[in-house]
Amino acid sequence: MNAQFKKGVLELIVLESVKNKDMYGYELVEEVSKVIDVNEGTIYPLLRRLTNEQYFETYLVESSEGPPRKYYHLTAKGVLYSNALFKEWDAFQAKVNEFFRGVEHE
Amino acid sequence: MNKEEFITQLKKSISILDDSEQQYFVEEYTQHIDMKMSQGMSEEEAVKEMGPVEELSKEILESYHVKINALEDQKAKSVDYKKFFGKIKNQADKIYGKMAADCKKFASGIKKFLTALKDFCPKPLKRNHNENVTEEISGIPENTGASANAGVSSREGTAFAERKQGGFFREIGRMIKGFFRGIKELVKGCLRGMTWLAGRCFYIALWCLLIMWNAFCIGAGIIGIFFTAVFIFLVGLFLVMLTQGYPTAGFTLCALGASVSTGSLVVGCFILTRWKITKDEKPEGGEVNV
Repeated sequence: MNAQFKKGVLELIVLESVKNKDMYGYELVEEVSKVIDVNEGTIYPLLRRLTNEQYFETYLVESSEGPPRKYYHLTAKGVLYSNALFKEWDAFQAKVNEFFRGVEHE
Repeated sequence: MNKEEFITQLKKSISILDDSEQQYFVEEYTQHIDMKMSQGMSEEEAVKEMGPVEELSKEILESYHVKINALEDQKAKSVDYKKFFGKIKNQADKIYGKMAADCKKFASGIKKFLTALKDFCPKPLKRNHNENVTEEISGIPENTGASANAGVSSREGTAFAERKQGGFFREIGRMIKGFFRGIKELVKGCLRGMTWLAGRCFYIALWCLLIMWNAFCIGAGIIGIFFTAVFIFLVGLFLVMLTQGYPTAGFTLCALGASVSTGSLVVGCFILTRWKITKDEKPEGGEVNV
């Protein structure tokens, strides 16, 4: 898949994934990998940026194996942002699809 | 690449970030790789899945809105400047240190000379004057003196004069010694200063020679380029004329030879430029023979 497509939509996928359920980094990477194929490392800079912009907050949970896991939770600000971004995406993809359908029928 | 290498490389490439930010990425990536490995993946594979370090660090820095190219440019430039000025400073320190030491020696030489001179010149006159006075003093009681007191005083007076006289010669000897020592120091200081100056002059002259040599070579090279171009043009011209039926085969060959020779002259000129003064190195072959 086109790298530019991936980059644009990755943020929304991450936000929507965490909206349903708090997740830790590795879990989130697995979740995202179901939809799009990205370098696993690239998710963490995104997570850090969204955390610094206060869309995410983090908390640690002890795990039976290895060190404690850092869970990401979507804040109220994050929910608003995610919703706005989703609406944008929806309108955008609807418009683009409509355009393509129009081209096909001509 | 194993996990350790991956983490150290990553840390190095994002070292511009705050420690806490670096810590975050190190922790998360370490944990991620560990989890991959605990699910049966090999270390190499787990690291490979993360993607190349350069790309990751670029992405991380981009997420902080860092202008990556500017950062690298700045780094390269500052390193260059540092090296350059460091070199100049070292050289200046060295020259200054030598100069200061030489000046000190020179000054101490002059000082010794001057003090010796001062000791030598006015004091003998003063002493002589004093001597006359003491003689006069001792002379008075002798002339008048039949009394015991007068005799004692005259004896004391002459003893004093003798002692003074002995001291005077000793003093003069010391002064002459000091004078010569001062001169010696002065000459030593002068010699030292002159050798140092001569060394510097030689070095500067060498540089001037080098610059002149390079200017000559480059100048000759540029003129040579011009002539080469002209001769190549002539070769073309004569060739065209040859095809038109003119008898210019000899001229063509001449022009060809001239263009080749001027061309090699140009190359030679540029090869002969020298930009460094190198000290003579010890011959390595000699030691092998022994």
